[in-house]
Amino acid sequence: MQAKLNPQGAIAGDSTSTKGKISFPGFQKVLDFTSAGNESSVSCTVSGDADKEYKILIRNLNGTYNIYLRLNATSTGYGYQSLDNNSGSVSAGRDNATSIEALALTTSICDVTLVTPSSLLKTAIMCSAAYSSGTTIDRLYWRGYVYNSTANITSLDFVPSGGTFASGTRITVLARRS
Amino acid sequence: MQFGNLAGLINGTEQVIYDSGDLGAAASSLATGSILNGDADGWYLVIVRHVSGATSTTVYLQPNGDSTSSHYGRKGIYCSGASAADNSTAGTEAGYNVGYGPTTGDVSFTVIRIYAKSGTVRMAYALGTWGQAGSTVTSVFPYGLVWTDTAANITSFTLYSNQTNGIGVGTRLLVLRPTAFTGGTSTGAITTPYIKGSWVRVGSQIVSGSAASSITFSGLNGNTDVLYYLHVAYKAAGSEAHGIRLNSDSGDNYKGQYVYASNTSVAAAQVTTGWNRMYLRNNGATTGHYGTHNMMLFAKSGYVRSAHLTGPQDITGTTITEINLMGDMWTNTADNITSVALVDNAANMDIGTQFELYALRPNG
Repeated sequence: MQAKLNPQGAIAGDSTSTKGKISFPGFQKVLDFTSAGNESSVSCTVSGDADKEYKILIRNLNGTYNIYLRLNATSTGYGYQSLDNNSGSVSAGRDNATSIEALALTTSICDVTLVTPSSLLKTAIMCSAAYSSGTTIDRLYWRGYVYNSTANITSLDFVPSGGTFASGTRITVLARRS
Repeated sequence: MQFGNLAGLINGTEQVIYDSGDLGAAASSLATGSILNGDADGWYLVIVRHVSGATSTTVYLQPNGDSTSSHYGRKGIYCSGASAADNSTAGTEAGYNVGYGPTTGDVSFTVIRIYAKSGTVRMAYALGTWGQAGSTVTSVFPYGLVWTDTAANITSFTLYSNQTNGIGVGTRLLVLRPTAFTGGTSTGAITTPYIKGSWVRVGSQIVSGSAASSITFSGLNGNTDVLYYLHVAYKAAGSEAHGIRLNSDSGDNYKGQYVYASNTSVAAAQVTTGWNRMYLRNNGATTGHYGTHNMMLFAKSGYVRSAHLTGPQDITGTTITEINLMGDMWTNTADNITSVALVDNAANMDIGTQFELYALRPNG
């Protein structure tokens, strides 16, 4: 028998149902967003103390704006350390007063591992590769981020650095659920 | 309702859809067959453990078997020895580059994340550690990739070697996809400890009471589990130098290639002697500082056990002292992994330090 199962248990039109709900200790999809081109943000409600870790996958199709990730709708208290390849130039840098928690570069693919342990600082390791044209990728950013807070993370907020998401932009979040 | 282990498609998970198993005979190519639907699936996670079947072997992952070199490009930071340098191509490779073996028998371990939906170029991000043999890990290599075809639905992947029979015995290819299965029969609520082909937690420990010098998961079966994903979030109670020790082996049997960035400095090095564990960082964290590690380990015996790991380290406030990227190897090829331990030089893993272990178990 193939059962109809879903980690979140939600059935269309009946979000309170436990019908088909499955619980297991593993990565489970909690957000799968594809932009229609008119959204200026998208949020995901979570409990970081319980989940401890998120896999965030972003395909940003916007050629002008990056995508920021902010925790608990907060835009301050972040820092990063980077190792970048920008058009063939490899360099490192640090910023401990940035308002950006993590970013997906313009026309890029981005892979983020966000770690939200209870009572410890929240960190992320991120890699973003940005497409130029033809067969050229012009930038590879590899960065570690910290959010200087031990508070429970209750929301992940994705915000374009300007305007709206480009149509077709995809943001997928997998949470470690137990 | 409490269930035992489950197998089948579970909506909202990421599951193995293809597993070659350890190859029993060398080959020049290895195809998944037409089992994919990139437009519907969106994301793929592809794991390649390549054992080189010939000298100077490069292996490529080709969507739909496309070997047209003018369709591929990449940009990366290739770290080998003391060098961390640009390594990029445009229009010269026969696929997504996923491994290189300079000598027959060399092992590469590469994990590649692909966004497969058509309508735009298909981009990917990969992390590899290549050329593992003897006491040498030749490289660790983060890189981005592009396939310029914007129209074709991806229905298959082919692992392709530039050398005859370059895909050697022991090579393994796994493809995971997010499942969005909407058919079937509705059930009541179900709780299960394990789903075949999904990353499932097999252990979780948090330091309490007093700072610890080690945290161990025992009773494992690496040959069945095949792949482990380890997660560590630490707070330092003193100068730390922790690492992963397998089967309590404290011999000089761990090798690595690492790169780290600290402020504006970049440094890389190869470690061929002196490690009695897979170090998760290259120097000690300061008391009261934080850090995290994420590590993927190919655990099945038969070949050296390859791993790569990454994470921000030695953090205080909004300052990250450094980020580390390491390609590691346990030189033991024979023993089944039955324990994985996080080991420090002293009892300096403070209260709240967390260590979690996940297994993939593609065969259930």
